[in-house]
Amino acid sequence: MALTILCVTFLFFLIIGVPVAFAIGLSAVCTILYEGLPFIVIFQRMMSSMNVFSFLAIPFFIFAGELMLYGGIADKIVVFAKNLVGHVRGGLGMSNVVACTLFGGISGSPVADVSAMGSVMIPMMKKEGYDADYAVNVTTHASLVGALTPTSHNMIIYSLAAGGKVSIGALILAGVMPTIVLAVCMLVAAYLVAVHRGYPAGVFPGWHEVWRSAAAAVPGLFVAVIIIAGILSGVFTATESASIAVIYAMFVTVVLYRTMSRKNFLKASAKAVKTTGVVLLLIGVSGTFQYLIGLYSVADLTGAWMAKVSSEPWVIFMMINVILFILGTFMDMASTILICTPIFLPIAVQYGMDPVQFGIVLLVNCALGLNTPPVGTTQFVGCAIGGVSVGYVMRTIWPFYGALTAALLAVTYIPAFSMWLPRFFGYT
Amino acid sequence: MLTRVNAFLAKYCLIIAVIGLYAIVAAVVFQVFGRYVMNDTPTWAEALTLVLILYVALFGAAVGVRDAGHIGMESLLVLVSDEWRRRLEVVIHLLVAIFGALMVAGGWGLMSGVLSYKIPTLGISEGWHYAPLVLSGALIFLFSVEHIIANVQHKEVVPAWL
Repeated sequence: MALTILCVTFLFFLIIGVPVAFAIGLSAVCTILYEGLPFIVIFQRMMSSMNVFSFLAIPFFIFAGELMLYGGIADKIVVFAKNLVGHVRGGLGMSNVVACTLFGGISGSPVADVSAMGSVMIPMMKKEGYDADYAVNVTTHASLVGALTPTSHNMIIYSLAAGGKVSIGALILAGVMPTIVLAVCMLVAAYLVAVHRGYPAGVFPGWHEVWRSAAAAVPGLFVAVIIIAGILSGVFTATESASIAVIYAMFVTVVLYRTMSRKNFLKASAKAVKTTGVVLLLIGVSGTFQYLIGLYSVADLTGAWMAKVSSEPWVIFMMINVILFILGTFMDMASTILICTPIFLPIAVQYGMDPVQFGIVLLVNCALGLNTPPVGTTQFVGCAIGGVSVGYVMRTIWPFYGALTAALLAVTYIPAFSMWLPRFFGYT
Repeated sequence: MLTRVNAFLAKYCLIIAVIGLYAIVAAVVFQVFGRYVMNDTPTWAEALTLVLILYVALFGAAVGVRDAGHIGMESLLVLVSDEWRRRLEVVIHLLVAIFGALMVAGGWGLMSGVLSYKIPTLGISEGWHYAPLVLSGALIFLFSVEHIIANVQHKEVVPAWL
């Protein structure tokens, strides 16, 4: 009964439009009151879930991402991407994919990626005669790799939601291959659509220009190297690497590029604080939710229900994918990760999936959800920049969706795909 | 009147949170510096960041309520008529306000329970851990009430700073 109250009130609050964090908190309050427990328990759980040193990496990653968003690193990356692949047919589409992948790699946030790259690339593409739906779809899909990169705070959230048993270093390495394959899939999709619609090719500026623009972009891209090298070498913890990344992002945008104005610096700081508040509040209330999920053995109940349907691992994995995808369409990444990890991770592990691989499957599913209504955060931002409706974009989304689904299936069913790199480096 | 007070509160809470964020970055970088360069890890750094992060996060979350920064589902709101959407929005803000009030009550209970304990490495009261919960709850309550009044009066709440 208590579990029913938890689920029904949560869904009710969510559907009428209460923000996710408050929907979780209020449904927990209803359940706790039904159980006759003092409601203070909720806030005790909430505060202890937020007060973890490793979580400090989250505001730092968010802050570093905002600094790069407001600090003009995006422009250098766009020039480099355009010089590199702009001369292929549908060149601006291809440049967009490369630029989004690179910026996603350092900002670690699909939403930041779409707002940074989209505001430069989408108007540019429309001006050159590309259709708005194509411009928006290329940007919103290519930017999803931001969710899988070392700078993504979502990996930290997953690692902690899994009880801190999943190594962040292993997750970072596991994300590398899927990121590359995702980018290649997007390049292929962007190219095929461009050929089909007869989009133009740009002019190759020569290798000298390519090298020059690459050299200009490298200091900005170096932030990802700091984080990877810092964590993998064991010199820094994830939190410490992230703090160094913040200082480095400040150095690059303020001192090296000199593209950061005082106003933009404050804007980046204020935005980082607000996003941190949203994400950490979500983490806090999810702590309460996880406690209740544990109390009512939701993972066992779900596992038993799934076992009734089939005992074949591939069917179970497919079911998990479908459920994760559906949840991801109406919740944002952090809440999906926090709520689903304690329920589905034990089931996936029971059927032979490695926790690191499950993390990547979860992240790709969440990424898919970011581009699917009703709550498609990156899609909203992309459509707003492109000046088109979500419905209009959805009609031609299929090639890109197909590419993304192919990548998801590869990650789900070919363990080596995500696992060989972590294993190669000695993480098991 | 409430709008003016709230705009003031939102602006200065955000400024305090931003300063807090800089302080956290500085403390963690100093910790790394202490460990590798001075060969002496400062013990207060981690404890301090763990207190500060609560202020940054909870003030940020409160300002997020005023600036409509929290993520929620909007599909149902889009489907219904304008009249109903306004009514639903009032209900949503009311629910958020209730949660804010509970944060104040819960936070107060937790804070008064630990006031006499001290955080070992910092030498300040444990109550500092729970104070932001009370403050943020109060702010969330005030900001939600402001949204309800603005909604009834057909007005918009404008972000106070940046």
